[in-house]
Amino acid sequence: MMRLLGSRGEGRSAPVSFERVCKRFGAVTAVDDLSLEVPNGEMLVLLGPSGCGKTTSLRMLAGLESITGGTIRIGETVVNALPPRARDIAMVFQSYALYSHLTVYENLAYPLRVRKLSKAEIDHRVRDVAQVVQIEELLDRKPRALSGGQRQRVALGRAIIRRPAVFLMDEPLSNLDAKLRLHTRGELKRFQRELATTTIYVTHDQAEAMTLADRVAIMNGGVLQQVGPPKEVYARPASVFVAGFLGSPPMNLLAVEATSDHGAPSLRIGETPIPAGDRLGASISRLRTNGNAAILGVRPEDVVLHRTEEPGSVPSEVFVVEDLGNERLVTLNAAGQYVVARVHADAPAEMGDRLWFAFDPGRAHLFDPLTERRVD
Amino acid sequence: MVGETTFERVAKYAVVAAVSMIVLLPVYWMVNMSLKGKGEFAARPPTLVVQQPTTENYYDLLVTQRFYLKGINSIVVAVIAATLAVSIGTLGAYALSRFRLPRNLNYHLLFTMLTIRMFPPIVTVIPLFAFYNREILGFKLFDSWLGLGLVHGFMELPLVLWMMIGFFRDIPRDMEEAALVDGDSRLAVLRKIAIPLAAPGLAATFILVFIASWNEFLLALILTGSKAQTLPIAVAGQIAQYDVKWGNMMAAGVITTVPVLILALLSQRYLTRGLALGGVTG
Ligand SMILES: Nc1ncnc2c1ncn2[C@@H]1O[C@H](COP(=O)(O)OP(=O)(O)OP(=O)(O)O)[C@@H](O)[C@H]1O
Ligand SMILES: [Mg+2]
Repeated sequence: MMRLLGSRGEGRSAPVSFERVCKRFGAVTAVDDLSLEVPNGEMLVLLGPSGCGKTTSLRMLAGLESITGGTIRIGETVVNALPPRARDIAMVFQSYALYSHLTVYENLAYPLRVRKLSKAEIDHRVRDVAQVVQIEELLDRKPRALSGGQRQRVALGRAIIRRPAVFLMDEPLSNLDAKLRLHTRGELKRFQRELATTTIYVTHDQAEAMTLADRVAIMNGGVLQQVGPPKEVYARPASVFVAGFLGSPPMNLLAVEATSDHGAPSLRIGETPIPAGDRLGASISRLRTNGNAAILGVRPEDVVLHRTEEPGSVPSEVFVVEDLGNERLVTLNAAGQYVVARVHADAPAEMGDRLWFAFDPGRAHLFDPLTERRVD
Repeated sequence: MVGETTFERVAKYAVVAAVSMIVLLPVYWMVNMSLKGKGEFAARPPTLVVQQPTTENYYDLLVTQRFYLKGINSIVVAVIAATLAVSIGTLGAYALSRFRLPRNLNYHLLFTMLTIRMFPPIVTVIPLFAFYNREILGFKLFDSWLGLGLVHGFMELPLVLWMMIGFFRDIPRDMEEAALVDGDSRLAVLRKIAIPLAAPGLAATFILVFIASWNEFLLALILTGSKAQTLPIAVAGQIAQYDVKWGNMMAAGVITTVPVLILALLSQRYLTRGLALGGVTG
């Protein structure tokens, strides 16, 4: 595989920057005030629910969609008005977009023929790439005679066959079966590292985002929510949306009353006050709410269950227990709010049991219900 | 078909046979009459099947009248018309199907083009006649292959536009976008992606324009003299002042019909595929 990549210095990879970029389709705002810097060689994963503007962002960068406002740069060049062919990008389309009248071989060779490479060089590269994406025995077929997964691999091959400034990939693995997806995901990561070409990768699969990304950019409703390394966005979500989007199951979000009046700051869940600890306690004053409502975020793996009441624990009733083999998910009902705990497979819990749950406030987060931003 | 009863199959073929007979009867009658000699024409009632087939009508037409010259005229004019209409119409259709003009101009342009077909040709033929008789750069368009080809091509331009827009609309947009990203210009995309994919439609459109030009009568009658005269005019020419040469006329009819029939049969595959693909549905 690595023979293809050859000398590392050959790539002319370039950084990408979005500066206050907007895209409107009539009344619909698909991308709203997007500012994002992607340093040279980075793999940035755009993550978000369906319809949040991921594809639109990619298409603006590729030059397939005009920009309503803002500036997009590849390297030093402002590309706002450049046609796609002048941007030096390679793209994997969400719908493959294979040339249906050409064989797999000709599909792969297409970008090279446009660049007038020699016949021998084209043949060499096509066979190399076919090996990387495991389609060597399909080279003579037309796209209509391929399965969805095979088509996707051809699309991937057509993108990686040349060394562009930027790779754009729109859900390139979504149609592969689980095993092949894992395999290709690994190959892709190695490939990207080896090539060190700036890559923007779109997905709505968190696991894919977390494993592939140098940094993850999470979007919702056309608005960029947070950018950061996978570990950081998981551990310190910037907003209620990110907290509720990442993780499976996602972070528990509980309505609490935060008070720091007399002495130690505390959080009240239902009727039960629990000590807020230093970090959360200090953040209470940053809440912009009138009154003292706040949103508490706790990861399921940080919830601890007790069979008896302990100091700082909250009474609850087991609502449902789901076994996942190596662990179980216990959903608790605490005075009308649901809390999911991820516990060891042997942890005793039955539907209807009365349990007390607790958590380390040092690992929990506090969100402002008005701005929905994290305050700790 | 699966689950078809014998009765359904028989009924189906009976209907097809009946329709074919109605459609083919005039053609049969034409062939039948073209093979009759002078004597047999006089027979009352007319013979349903020719009794003494003769080639004298064909001989008179082809050898004495040199009718094939008109055939060459027809072919050249139709090729000019189809080439012109298809090449210009394809470019126009591609532009209209890919670029969004402001103020809904795409639609207005297309509709305006369509109105060309709503004019009765007789309205335009007189000014055209006057215009064609002027010398431009020492060349008169009247009674020339180019002159008639131009008019026929222009007349069929709306048909080409509407059909080709349908075919182009059926090409997935992102396939062309992939080619743009891969480094092609718009024109290269048209040449390497859009036209190969629309090829059956292109062939069907070419054939339809060819046939339309081949069959066209009024403009060909007025805009040609003896030099560039096409087949339909020559067929009608068999009606002399005092007598109608029925045998010659029928033979001329056969000679005129057979080439387009062969063309249609040869290109049947493209025609049905092309027309089923887009155009009509698009
Ligand atoms: N050509 C268009 N005209 C009008 N609205 C559009 C157009 N393209 C996209 N949109 C809208 O813009 C928003 C963002 O679409 P986009 O395709 O970028 O979403 P996405 O994040 O890629 O979603 P998915 O994960 O489903 O692919 C959506 O609300 C969509 O309906
Ligand atoms: Mg998308």
